Amino acid sequence: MTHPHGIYQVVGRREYRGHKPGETFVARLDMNAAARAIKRGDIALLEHVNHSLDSGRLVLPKGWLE
Amino acid sequence: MRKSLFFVVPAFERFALTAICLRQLRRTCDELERNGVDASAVIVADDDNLDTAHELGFGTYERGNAATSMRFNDGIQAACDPRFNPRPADYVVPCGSDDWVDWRLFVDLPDAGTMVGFQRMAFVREDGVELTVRHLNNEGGCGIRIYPRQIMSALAYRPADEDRKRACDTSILVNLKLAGAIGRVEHRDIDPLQIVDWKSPGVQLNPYATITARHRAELTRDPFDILHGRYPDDALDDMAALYGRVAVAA
Repeated sequence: MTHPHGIYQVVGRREYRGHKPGETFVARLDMNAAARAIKRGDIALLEHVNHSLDSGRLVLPKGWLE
Repeated sequence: MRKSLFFVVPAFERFALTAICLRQLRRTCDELERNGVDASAVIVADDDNLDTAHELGFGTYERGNAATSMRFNDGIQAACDPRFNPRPADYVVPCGSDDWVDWRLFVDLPDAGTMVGFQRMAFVREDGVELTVRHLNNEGGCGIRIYPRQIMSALAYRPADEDRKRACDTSILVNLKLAGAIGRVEHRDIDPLQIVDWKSPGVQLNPYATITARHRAELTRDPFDILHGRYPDDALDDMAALYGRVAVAA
């Protein structure tokens, strides 16, 4: 099963995965671990995100499509 | 039918070292082409390393020096996702901008459910005076691995957590295993110098001293002695000049 990435905020008083209280971070967390951390009050899920490429920034290798 | 392979190389500054390693990667890809594998690379950067990549005919993705894992994801997606690459690569190999790899490691490509890892690797000390070969006794070996596209498709071609500044290789492997995408892990070993990692002063996430403290040593030598005849003279001459060393005469 694919776990989606989420934007999380550290809402507890302890660091979470190296992120300080108040910081937001983007990660694909194990869903059970994330649920436990949310339940403990360590982090909050702000939103799910789907990262992807911006095709305008991509240049394929020379001759790759020939 | 010929198979295809992309190396994915995030790069940031260290322009001279990166240029030497990308030129060596060009030779690696050319050897693979001559031996039945269509090989190229995509370099993920937002600085002068993009110019070097273009000069060598490699692909590029422009991304600032964000989390390294995000840049690996960018390169893997550029290599394998048919929405962005109309000729997606059959295999993708994450690689450092300070690494040399032996082309022979990538000729025999695995089935669609198998990841190939490499547990033996050579490291050159930051001053360029010492090389050590280490056995990395973990399942994935070093971060350079051969992943079939099918494995990457399980996580929409972005397998790493997006926010990792280090341990990106572990994040890729752990997430793919959690997703049940990897059927088998194969370890490949052709010789102690099959992969060479060139350390540089001041900018290493994993300095030479950390490596030598953590992993079992197999041999320790002068890099320019032991690599002579094993990698191209031009590449060794360039690297010797960068480190202020003299390469062994042919």
